[in-house]
Amino acid sequence: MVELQNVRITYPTGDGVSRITFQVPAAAFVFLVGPSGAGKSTILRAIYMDRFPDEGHIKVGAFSSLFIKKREIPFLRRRLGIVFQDFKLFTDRDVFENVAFTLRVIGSKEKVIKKRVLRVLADVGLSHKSRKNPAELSGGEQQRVSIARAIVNEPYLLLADEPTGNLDPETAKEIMRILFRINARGTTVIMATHNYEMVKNYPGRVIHINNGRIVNIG
Amino acid sequence: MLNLRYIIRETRDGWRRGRLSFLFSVLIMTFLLILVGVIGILSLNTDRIVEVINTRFDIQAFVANTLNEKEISRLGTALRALPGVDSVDFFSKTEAAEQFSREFGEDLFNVVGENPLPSSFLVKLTPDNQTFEHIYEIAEQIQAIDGIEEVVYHEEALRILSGYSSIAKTVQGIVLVFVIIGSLVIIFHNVRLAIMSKQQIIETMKLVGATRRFIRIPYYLQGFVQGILGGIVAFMLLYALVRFINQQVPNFLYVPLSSFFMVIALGGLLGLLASAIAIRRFL
Repeated sequence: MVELQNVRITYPTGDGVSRITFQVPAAAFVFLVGPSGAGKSTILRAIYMDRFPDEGHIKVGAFSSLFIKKREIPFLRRRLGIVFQDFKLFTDRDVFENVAFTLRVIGSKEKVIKKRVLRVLADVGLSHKSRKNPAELSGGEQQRVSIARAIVNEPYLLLADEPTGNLDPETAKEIMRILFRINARGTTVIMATHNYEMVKNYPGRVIHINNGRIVNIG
Repeated sequence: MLNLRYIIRETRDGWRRGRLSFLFSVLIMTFLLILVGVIGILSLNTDRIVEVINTRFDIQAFVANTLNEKEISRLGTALRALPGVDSVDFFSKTEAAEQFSREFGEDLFNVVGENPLPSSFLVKLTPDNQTFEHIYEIAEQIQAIDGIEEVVYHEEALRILSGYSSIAKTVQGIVLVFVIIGSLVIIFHNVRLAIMSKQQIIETMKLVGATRRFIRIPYYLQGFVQGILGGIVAFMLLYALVRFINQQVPNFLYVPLSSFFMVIALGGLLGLLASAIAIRRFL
């Protein structure tokens, strides 16, 4: 499903990651754990091909970082769902339209959009807030909208970058429950977090990263 | 593939967010397109004036009184053979005298006792030679022919008209360039603002798999709509203006309806072009 082979990415500041090699099979739940600045986000960015490796290669499904053309990147991302720590919701439209956007991008019919958005909003428990603007929601609710947007297209891989980072422990638990529920349906999940304590409470493979290197694969 | 309703909504949303700058830009477009329209109307009607005057691009060549009929006929052949000459009509001394008495109400024989008027040829030029430069050249050639005593044409009037028409063309050209640049700048700026205000949203759109085309289309449409709206308002105002003038002075201006529609089309085209430039630079 996802394969990183000897990946090195260097930023002009000198930070980055190197010698990153791991594989994630289909339907797995993997935690990338490490302190801030360890390189977790860089690895996720490399997987959704927002940043290309200076060395090594990445394979996501049928897409390879060595061969993918720039105009093909949107089509890779349509097969992925991405959840961000800062939610990155569209503040110029309501919750329904935020989630619907993923389907509009692929040209889904209005009828299909309505059905699937309402179903996924029910899934994350936000049916009653579909006409609210994201700015009117709590942090936990915003993250649930972000998850709904990421999964509405039934992606085969969900990438979550510190999805609980801005949330209180109770809300974080709720988000984790949703992510595991999605995983149970067969979606591969890769989640980056700095919260080592939280990871201990959940099943799933753990990849420890520090200073841009993998220090341990559990 | 692309959902039309979505595109329209995104476009509409674009101008709702920047309502004032959108309105301002449509107003400026209207003003600039009216300027183009006025120039168009003027040049359309200058052409009409020139068309009327063109019939006066004639040369009258007076024949020396000493020539006999054969020589005069040879002269006619020589004139017809000149490049740029369309037709040559002969006016005999008798016809000249008749015209004189028609114009002055006096019989020339009664006054002078003889017919002093020379016979003449009226030389008409082919349409492509009906310019001040050509008429001057051809008149010189006619003057040089043996047996032609004098050549007369509306030299001063044609010189002034030709000078005016070339100045008018230059002014029209300058204004047109100014209008095109002006409208491009206005719409470019407006679309740029719209893109800038949504920079973060656009980044996220890319992350959830939106293609460049998908993101760009609403911005193309935004500039296009601004241009078209400016065109429609300009259309209405110009139409009202022409109607008003023609009510005051019947048939003073002639403007075909298709010319009015050209103003709308020009607005749309300029809008689209300006958006394209902004999109290429900022998106």
